[in-house]
Amino acid sequence: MFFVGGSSRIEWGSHVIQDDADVIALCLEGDVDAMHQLVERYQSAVFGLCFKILGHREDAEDTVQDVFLRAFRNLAKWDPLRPFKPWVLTIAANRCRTALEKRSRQARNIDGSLDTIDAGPSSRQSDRTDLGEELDLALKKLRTDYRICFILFHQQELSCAEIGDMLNCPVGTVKIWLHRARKELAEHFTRRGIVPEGHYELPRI
Amino acid sequence: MNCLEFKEKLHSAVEAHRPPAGDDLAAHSRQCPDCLREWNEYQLLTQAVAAWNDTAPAVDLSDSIVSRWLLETTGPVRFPSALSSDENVSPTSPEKAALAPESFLFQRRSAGRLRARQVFWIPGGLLLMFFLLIRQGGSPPENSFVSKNPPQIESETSWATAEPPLPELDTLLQDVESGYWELANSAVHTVSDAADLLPMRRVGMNGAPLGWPALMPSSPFSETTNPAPSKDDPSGPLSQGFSKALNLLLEVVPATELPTS
Repeated sequence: MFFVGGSSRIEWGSHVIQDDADVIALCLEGDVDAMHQLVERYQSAVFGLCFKILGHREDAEDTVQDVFLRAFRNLAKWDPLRPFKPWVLTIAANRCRTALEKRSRQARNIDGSLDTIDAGPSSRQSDRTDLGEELDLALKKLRTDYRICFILFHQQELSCAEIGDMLNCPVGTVKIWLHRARKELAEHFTRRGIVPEGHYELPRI
Repeated sequence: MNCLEFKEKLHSAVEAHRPPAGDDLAAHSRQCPDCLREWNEYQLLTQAVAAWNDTAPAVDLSDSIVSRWLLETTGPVRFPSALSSDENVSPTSPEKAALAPESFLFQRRSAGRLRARQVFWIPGGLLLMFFLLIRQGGSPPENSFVSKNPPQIESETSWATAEPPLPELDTLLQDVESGYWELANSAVHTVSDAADLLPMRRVGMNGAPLGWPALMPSSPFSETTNPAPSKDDPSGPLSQGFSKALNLLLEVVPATELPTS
């Protein structure tokens, strides 16, 4: 498989596939290779979203499979004039939300385990990995809407308008959710005594 | 730059997924405590998000997803990667493109046809063998190629000769005649006993007539004392009927010698 001119043009044997619409058209005809290509293109994005929202690898893998199966089932409903990635990420976000609701019904109290971790301020952590794990912990304490919005924005790098379309809410709401999520995360870091590298403090008078 | 401009620039940079341009934001934050706090939060979250995005593990679920999809839609299908080493083809070779998916569908269709043939041919063959064996077990027709007097060794090894011989027509007819005779004989005995019983009721043990028991005071039998049958004897028609039946049965029974069984 050769990628030519970016991720939208693929050479596969004698076939040259231009973009998502061509791949999806082949998928609708039952082409197994095209199905493989479609999954390989977007599985990282979908898995990253599911993994960040759910915080559990096995759950994320199950959800990714569920997402793509649902996408294949509803592939004929996809609008070729719109990009495929937000469409499949919308399915992923909805599936993650359903999985979180199911998890909360099953009384798997993640917050309880987080409280024990968050018992007191930690020492100053400058390691990047620790900072990422700290953000993971903080995200798990966020409201589901804030968390999905934050992940879609900062991990998938979608715009506020795209997130609004995906979550079926106005752009202003997305901006408010994003702002509140950032505020709560910053407060979490402050409580934990984490400060950014090269941060500046005003001189006390 | 004032605080409002600082916030607008910072938020627009965040929404555009790009770092804020210029050093004026940092310069303003060093003069305003609120803007400095916001600037530090922005820096911290930017670093945390960068570290957080690096922690996402890689995954390859394409095979399982597509196989699950094909299983859901068409049933079990073997992929080229699941074939044996001599069957496996390179993913980049045109053979794979030529194979998939029509070749798999063809293989599936061929397997289905083979299964359908097996379903029809195996019971058909068994039925044919069954009829042939039954035919060999019976008497062969005149123009049959089967020998009428097969060798002894052949008859011993043939399972059909081990079966009991089929009943002959004469035996069946003999059994039917015997059954009819037994039926008629029992009927004769029954009628004879009945005919003998009726006069016995009229005569005592010492030969004296007993008469009919008085069933009711007004019964015509209560006044009967004469042992000889009279016209008023109610058993007369019954005795006559028995006699007629007996004669009829004796006429029906053949005069020839009957079988002993």
